[in-house]
Amino acid sequence: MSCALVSLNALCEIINSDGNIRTVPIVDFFTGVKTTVLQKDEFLRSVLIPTNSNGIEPVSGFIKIGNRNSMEIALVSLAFHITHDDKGVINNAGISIGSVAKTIMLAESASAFLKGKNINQLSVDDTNQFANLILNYANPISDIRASAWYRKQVLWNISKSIF
Amino acid sequence: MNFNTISPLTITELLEAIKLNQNNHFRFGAGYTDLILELQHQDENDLTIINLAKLNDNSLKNTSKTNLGIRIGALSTMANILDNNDLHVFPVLIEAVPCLNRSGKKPCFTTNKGDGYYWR
Repeated sequence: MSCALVSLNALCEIINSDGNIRTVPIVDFFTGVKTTVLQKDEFLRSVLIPTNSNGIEPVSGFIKIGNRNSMEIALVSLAFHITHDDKGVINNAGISIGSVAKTIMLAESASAFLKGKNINQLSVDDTNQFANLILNYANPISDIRASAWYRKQVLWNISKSIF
Repeated sequence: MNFNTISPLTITELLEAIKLNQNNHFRFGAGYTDLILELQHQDENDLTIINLAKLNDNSLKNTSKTNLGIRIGALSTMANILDNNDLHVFPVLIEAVPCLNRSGKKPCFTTNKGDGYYWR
């Protein structure tokens, strides 16, 4: 679910033992495997999802590839939340990937690539380029669950399947 | 293994418990699945567990709409998120929830043999 929150550019509201609150973008909250920016006297109080809906249904979804459906960490996951105007011109895109790097990655260049393009008129070259940009953020490991090669191949394919 | 448990009921009591234990070895506990497994493999002496399960603070448990956006309390359940209509403007979030607990309708893609999605 953190991957989905990263694609939404959510903010973490962190409170310390003195009651002081600081806000950290969720993409910066996770610093590595099982590590976060939390200090010993802090805990995560809430997550804030900014809302700026224009009333048009976004292209938004979450794809998890895993060995089984539930209670299992993903081999690869991809979250996307793309908003556009009534003509289909993309005005904002949040793309994040999980299980393919040491922590969740926000694919900012892929998001930037989409901005200004018409979501209904993306060519095959566009979707290939988009998938390649996402792949730049992937640095997966090979482990008992899947090889790095497999994770990258799957990520490329599911990235293209968004459109 | 020897450990103490503190069960704060409010966020004020929680902050106080954290402050009092700054120089002690403490861990948070809520569902305890992770903690039990970890304690099986390592002995943690003089451990204090701050039990979050009994917290009854609405700011931690609820989801609320503010002028900045939608705030999800850290102790909100998956069911809370699925039941909250305000959050359904974020399909990415709603689809991610069933992938965790299977309580939703949309299945996650799996790599089970015979499923036949083209990208596998």
